[in-house]
Amino acid sequence: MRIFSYAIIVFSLLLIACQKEESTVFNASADERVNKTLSEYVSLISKPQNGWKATYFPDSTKYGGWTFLMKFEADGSVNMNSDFNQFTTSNQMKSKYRVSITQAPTLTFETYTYIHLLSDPGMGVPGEGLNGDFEFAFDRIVGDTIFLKSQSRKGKSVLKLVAAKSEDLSLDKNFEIQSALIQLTSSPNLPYFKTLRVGETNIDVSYNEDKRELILKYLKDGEIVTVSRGVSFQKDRIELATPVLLPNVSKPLPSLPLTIDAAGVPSLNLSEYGLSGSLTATHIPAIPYLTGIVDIQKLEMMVVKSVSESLSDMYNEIKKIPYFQSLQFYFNYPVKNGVLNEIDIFTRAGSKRTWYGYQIDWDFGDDGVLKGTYRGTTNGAAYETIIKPFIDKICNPDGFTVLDVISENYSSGTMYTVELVSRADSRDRLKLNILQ
Amino acid sequence: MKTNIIALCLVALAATFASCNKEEDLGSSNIKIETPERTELDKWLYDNFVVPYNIEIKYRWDYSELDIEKKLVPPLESMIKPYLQVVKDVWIAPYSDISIVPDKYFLKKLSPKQFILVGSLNYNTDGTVTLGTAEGGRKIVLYDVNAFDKGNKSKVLRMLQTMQHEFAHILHQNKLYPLDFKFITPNYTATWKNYSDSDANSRGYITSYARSGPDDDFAEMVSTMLTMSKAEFDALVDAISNADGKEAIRKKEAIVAGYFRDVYNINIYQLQQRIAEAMNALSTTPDANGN
Repeated sequence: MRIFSYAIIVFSLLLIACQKEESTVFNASADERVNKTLSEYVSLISKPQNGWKATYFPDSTKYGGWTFLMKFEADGSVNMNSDFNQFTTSNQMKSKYRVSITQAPTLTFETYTYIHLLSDPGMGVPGEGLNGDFEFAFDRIVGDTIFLKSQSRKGKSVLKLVAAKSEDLSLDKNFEIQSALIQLTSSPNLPYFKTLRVGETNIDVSYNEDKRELILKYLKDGEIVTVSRGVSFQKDRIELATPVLLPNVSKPLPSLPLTIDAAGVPSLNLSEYGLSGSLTATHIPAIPYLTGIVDIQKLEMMVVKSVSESLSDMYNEIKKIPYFQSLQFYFNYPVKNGVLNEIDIFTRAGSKRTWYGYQIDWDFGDDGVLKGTYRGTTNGAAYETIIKPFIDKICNPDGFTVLDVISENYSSGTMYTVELVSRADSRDRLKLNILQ
Repeated sequence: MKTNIIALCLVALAATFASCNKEEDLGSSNIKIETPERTELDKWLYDNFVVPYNIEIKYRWDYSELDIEKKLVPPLESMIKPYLQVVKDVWIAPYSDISIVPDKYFLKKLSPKQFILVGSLNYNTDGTVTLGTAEGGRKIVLYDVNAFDKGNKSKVLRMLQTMQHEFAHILHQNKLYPLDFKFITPNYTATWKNYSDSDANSRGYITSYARSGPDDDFAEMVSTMLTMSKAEFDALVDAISNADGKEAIRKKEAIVAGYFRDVYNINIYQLQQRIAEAMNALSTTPDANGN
């Protein structure tokens, strides 16, 4: 009888084990839901008739942003333009993409196209690239905008896709703004310094084309303040990676609206911010450059490395002097030794070395301006007529702005390089250097 | 009574199992097993690499195949076919020529089963760059595909040298070369990159990279021999002024030739000639430096 009881209990347990009442939280399996989600993302990105416009700042702490037009197709292909350069602006490139699941639904540009230029290790610093990415996790969708996070930079940079309107379908205007800025900041035919005037504040502006970085220097309470911002180019403005607050301006500026005339010259128009503004090329910088003049006094002697085109004929005549080796600028060494400073023509014939001296009385101004007065030659009368036109340029009454000294370390020592820019005509420039 | 209980238990047990006998509809599988839609390029790769040699070509980005610490980018799609056509012409075709390589299954057995193509160079932290890597005799990663130019002799030679170098690793991983090779010039160093090729030559290494270790020394010997005609290789070795260095390289050459002959029944000099002919047929032009 006891066996019978046990059997009843065991069978009861077995029957309970067979009793299945499944209730699932979701109405489809995980795989089905993943596949459905991925399909929906493909549909989403391939839906807009005009594709997407994206401005991507790969690393806003170091670089500016690049603008892309992307048209995704459901077959896994994507057509792209970018304002990287003239070619990428006007030539569409077709490549492949995929939407897959890793830790999150992810968009991967799986064959090379323009967006890879920002992560190509051959660009920028060798091996580093421009810190860009080409794998992005879908983060959120707001209206007609999709936000995707960089995978390799762990979400520190965001690719923002905005559904493109018909007027967005060309990047020519973006490239025009970029070209105008490059022309203004690097043309050898324009005055060297660029001054951005916002309201009553003058700001010295320079532009690093490779990094798409704008460097702004201004005076605040007597101190020179330097700020840099990555920039991107829109149809009618330079967009800053983050707004910049300038002195005597109540609100941070998020962008610099520009108009470009037929000759490609940009004009700043800040009326939308209720401000007056201008962007001009000038012979004299908006702020004093002070450190360079202190540094060249410490270095005491430097050698002419190169001159600008406007000085090249004069310099070439000097280089024709027999056994010419170098043209040397003495800033402090002779004075320390009780004689006047000099510009020297150094020649070497075999073991015979000669320095032909032309005495210069330098004025190292507190405002960072170097002025020279020619006092005559000590032993260089033979070549004075050759060097005199060059010395006249160096000793112009307005003097030279001494740019900050750049130092580079090599196994043989440190190379110091400085550029002198004439305040009479800033197209007259020369680079001096010394290895110490 | 006892018999009745046992009978009852058996009936109940049978009923229990019967109740468990459910045929559930599990639905269709979510694993995609159908053949993916192939593009023209994919079809060409399938017909030219997968079918004849069982070699998979991966050109679409997959970081899981690569070093995630490195900055790398995928190749340009337009570069894949020109690049691999040259691989076929100057690497696969000579090894498939049974008048030189009698074992018709040689390449099918030993070729890497997966080529991973990467668009950029692979930059190392010591300032050098890696052009290719071979892993476990099964996979070869080829870098710098985007810079390839089939009309440029130096670019083709660079690619061919990378292929031959990595394949040489696969060959010696399959069967090791004679140990004597390792003791001809045993002064291998991790600082090989600080020495020029001519300095390495005078020390008995065919390239500076050959100094990095015996396996790379062997692979560099093979790849140098198979990217030059015999006349070019002899001219290179004969120009080495250091007699000891020259002698060491000739010893290594003899071991390499013996290894190919004894292990794979290949006359390396015939193979060398066949590859040189394939190179000439490409009608490449030297670059600005004459390379």
